[in-house]
Amino acid sequence: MKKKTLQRLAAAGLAMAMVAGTLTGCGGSGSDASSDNADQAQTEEADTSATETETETETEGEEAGGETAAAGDFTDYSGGFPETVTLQVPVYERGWEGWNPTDNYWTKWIQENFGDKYNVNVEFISIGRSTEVQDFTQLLSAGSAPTFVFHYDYPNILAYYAQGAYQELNADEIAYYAPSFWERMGDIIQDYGVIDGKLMVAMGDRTELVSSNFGTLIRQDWLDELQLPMPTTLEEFNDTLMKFKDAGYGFATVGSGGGQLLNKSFNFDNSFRDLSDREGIALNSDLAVAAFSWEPTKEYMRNLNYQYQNGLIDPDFYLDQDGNQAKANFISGKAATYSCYINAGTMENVIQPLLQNNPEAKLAILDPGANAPGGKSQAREYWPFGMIYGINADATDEERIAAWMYIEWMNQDEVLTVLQNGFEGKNYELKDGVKAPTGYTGEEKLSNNDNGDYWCLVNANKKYDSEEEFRKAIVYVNAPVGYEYLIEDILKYQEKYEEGFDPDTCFTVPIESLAEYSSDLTELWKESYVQLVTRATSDEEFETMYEEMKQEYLDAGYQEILDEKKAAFDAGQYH
Amino acid sequence: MSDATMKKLAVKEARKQQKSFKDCFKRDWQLYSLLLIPLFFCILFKYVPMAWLQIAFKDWKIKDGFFGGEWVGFEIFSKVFGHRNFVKSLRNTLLLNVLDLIVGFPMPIILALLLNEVKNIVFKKVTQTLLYLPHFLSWVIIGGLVYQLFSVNTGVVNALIQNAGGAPINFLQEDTNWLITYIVIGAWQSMGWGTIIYLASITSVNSELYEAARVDGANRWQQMLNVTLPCIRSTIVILLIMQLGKIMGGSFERIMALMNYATTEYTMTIPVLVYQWGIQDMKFSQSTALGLFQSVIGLILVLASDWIAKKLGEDGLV
Repeated sequence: MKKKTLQRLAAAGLAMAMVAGTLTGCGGSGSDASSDNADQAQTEEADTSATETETETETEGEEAGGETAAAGDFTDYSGGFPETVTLQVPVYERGWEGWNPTDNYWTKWIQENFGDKYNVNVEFISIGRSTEVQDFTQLLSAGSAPTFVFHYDYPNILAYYAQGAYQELNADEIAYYAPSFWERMGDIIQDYGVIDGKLMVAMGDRTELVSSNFGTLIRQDWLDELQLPMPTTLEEFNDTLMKFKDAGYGFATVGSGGGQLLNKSFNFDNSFRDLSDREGIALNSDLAVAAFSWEPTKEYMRNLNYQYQNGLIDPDFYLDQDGNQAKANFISGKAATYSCYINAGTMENVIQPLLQNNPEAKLAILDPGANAPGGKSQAREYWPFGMIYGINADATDEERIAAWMYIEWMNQDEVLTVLQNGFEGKNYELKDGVKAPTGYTGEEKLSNNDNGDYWCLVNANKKYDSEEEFRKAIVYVNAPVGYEYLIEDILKYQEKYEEGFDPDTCFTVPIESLAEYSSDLTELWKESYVQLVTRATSDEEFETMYEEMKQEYLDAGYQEILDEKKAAFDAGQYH
Repeated sequence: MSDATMKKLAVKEARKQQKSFKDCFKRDWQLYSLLLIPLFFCILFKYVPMAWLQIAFKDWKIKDGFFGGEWVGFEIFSKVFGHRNFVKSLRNTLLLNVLDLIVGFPMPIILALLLNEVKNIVFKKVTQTLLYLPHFLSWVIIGGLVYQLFSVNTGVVNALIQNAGGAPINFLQEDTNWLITYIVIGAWQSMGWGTIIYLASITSVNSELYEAARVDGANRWQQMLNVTLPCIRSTIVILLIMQLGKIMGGSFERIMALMNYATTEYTMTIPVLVYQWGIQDMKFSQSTALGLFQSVIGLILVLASDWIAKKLGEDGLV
C-alpha cells in the first residue's frame, strides 16, 4: 500500500515537473514578449513626443513669420533626447574566437561616450557576415530589423529597397544633425544615394580604392629550387605550375588557379576584360551574378579548364565552398599558392603552420600579372564609398535622428581615432609618427579588423593624414612580423598595375530581374562552370558544352538581366 | 469470430462502461496535462504557420506583413510550374524518395527481425546502440565524414583502394555513383533508429504463438516468417503509409550535405528548391506555393494509401 502511494506521488511529481518545465518555457518567452511590448510602448511614447515637438516647432515657425530656414525645421537634441531612444546598430558577426561583437569593451565605450550623453540606448544587433542577406531578410520580415539596414554592395541595397525596407531620407535633416559628416560625404550621398529619384541611402567614406593587403602568396622556395623567375603573365604562370607539377611539388589553389568553388563576388574575370568595352562591362560586371555568356568569363573558364585538365589546380577545388581546403592545402605544402588578406593573423593562421610542416618554405607575393593573359592585370576598383545604409522603414523620427547623431559623433576625429586605434600605450605605440599596434590583448583590445565593423558606417578604411603615413601604417598594422615585405610588395604591384583598376557600373535604378534571378543563376553558374571545367577534355568539347550551357544560362534569366541593364544603360541611369 | 471483430466488440463494451469526460479528466488529469505539451507544440509550430500559406496567392514582399500584399490568384503557381527546375526537381524528388523507400524501408524490418533472434543480451544491446548512433549525427557532420572518406582524390577509402592496387572509385563525383552513395548512406543513417518501433511491436507478440509453432515443428526461420512477420504486419503498414506521405518531401539537409557541383543531375529536389527560393532568394510567395503543392500531393498520397490499406483489410491510419 505504502509503496503504491509512493509511486503515485512520484508520478504526480514527475508530471508536475514536466508541466512546470513547459510553463517556465512559456514564461521565458512571455517575459520576452512583455519586454518587447515595453520597448514598443517606449518608442510609441517617443513617437508621440516627437509629433508634439514637431507641432511645437511648426507653430513657433509660424509665429516667426513662417520662415523656412532649415535649422528652424528641426528640433535641437544636442542636449540629449527627452525620452530614451533605442538605436539599433547592426554589426557583423565574423566568427572570431573570443570576440562578442554585440557586447565588448568598445560597445560599452560607445554607449558611455555617445549613448549616455544623448540619452540614446545603443543596441548592437549581430548579423552574420556570410549570411547577412538572410539575416536582414528575416529581421525585416519579423519587423525587428535594426535602425540601419546596410550592405557593402549596391545591387543588394537596391534589392532591399525594392522590398520596401527603407524610408526616404531628407538631405537637410542629415545636414542638420550630422554637419561634419555631411560636409565630407554630402556630395557623394546626393549623387549615389538617390534611387528612383528619391534620396534613400547614405554611405560611409572610402579613401582606399583597392585593397592594400589582399595578395596571393607563392612558394618562393619552389621557384628558387627550380631556378624559375617570378611569373609575370598567365602563360608563364601556367608553365611554372607545370614545372612544379613535374617536380612533384604541388598545384595552384587560387587566383586564376581557381582554388575554390566560385560562388559569390563574381569579379574573377577582371583581367580577361577589354576595358574599352564600356557597355559590355556595364551589362556584365556585377558581383551578384556571374556573366557566364560573356567573352571574358568564357576565356577565364577556358584557362581554368586547361589548368584542371593538366593537373595544375586542386582536382577537388569545387568541394571547397569556403576556402578552408585551399588554405589547408597550402599549409600542408600541397599547394603552390594561396590568396588571402595579409594581416597580423596571417602569421598564426598560415605562415607558422606552413613553417611547421615545411621549415624550408619561403614566401613571396605573386605578381598579379600572373593571373592575366599577357600580364595585363586588372582589378575591381571600389566605388568612392564604403558601407551603404538606409534607415529602416519602421524606424521612428527620433530613431532616425539618433542615427544621424550617432554618425556625426563617430565622424569626429577624436572619436574615430580612438575607435580605430585604441589607446596609446596600450593598443599602439607611436613609431616615427605612425601608430604601430602592440598586439595588445587586454580588455580594451580591438577586434581583428581594428573595430572596422563599428566605424564602417563612417569610413571603410582607417583614416591617415598623409600618403606616407598610410604606407608606413599599412605595413605596421598588417604585416606579420618579419614579413613586412609582403605588404610592401602588394603596394608595389598596385602601383605597377594602377591603370588596370576599374569600378563596376553603379546603376541608379533597381535592376529588378537581378533580384529575381541572381541566386537562381548562381546555382546554375556553379553547376555549369564546374561541369564545363571538369568534363570538357578537348577544345571542341569545351566549345559545344559552353554553347549549350550559355543558352541555358541566358534562358534562365540572364538575358532578362542583360536587357534590363541595357535599357538602364541606354537611358543613362548609372554613374 | 475473427481477431479484429473480437477487438472491436471489446472496445464497444468498454465504451459503454465509460464515464463522462469530466470524470475521466478528474481521474487522469496528470495524463491530460502531459498531453498539453505536445499539443501546444503542434499548434504553435504546425498549425499557426499554416495561416501564412495565403502568401502563395499574393505578390508579397517582406515588409508587407501578414495582411499586406496584392492578391494575384494562381499567378505564382503558374510561375512555379513553369520554372525550368520544376520538372527536374519533381522527378528527382520522386526518384530519390522511391529509391529510399525501396532500399530504406525494408532495412529496419530485416534488422529488427535479426536483432530479435540474437540471444546474447550484451551483444544485442551493444549492436543496437551502435546502430542507433548515426541517427544522432546531423547531416552536416555525416556529409563532412563522407567527403573525408569517399572523395576521389583525397578520400581515405580511395587511398586504400589505390594502395591495394585498384583504380579509385568515384563515389561522389559522378551522377549514378552519387545516387547510390546517397541511398546507401541514407539507409545506414536511419535503419538503426527505425528498428525501435518494430522491436517494440515484436515484444508484444503473444509468446503462446511461438510455442504453438514450435509444437508444430517450426524452426527459427519459419517462426520468424510465419509468426513474427504477420504479427507486426499492421505496424509495417502504418509506417509504410506514413512513409508514402513523405515521398514528395524528403530531407533537404541530407542533399545539401552530400551534394557537390560536379554532379547536379539528381540533387535538385523540391525541398532544395523551397530552401533556395525561400531562404536564399527572398521569393517567399514562390517558395510557399511550391511547399503547398508538395504538401497537398503528400496528403493525397497518404489518404490514398490509407484507403488502399483499409480495402486490403488493414487497420489504416485515419
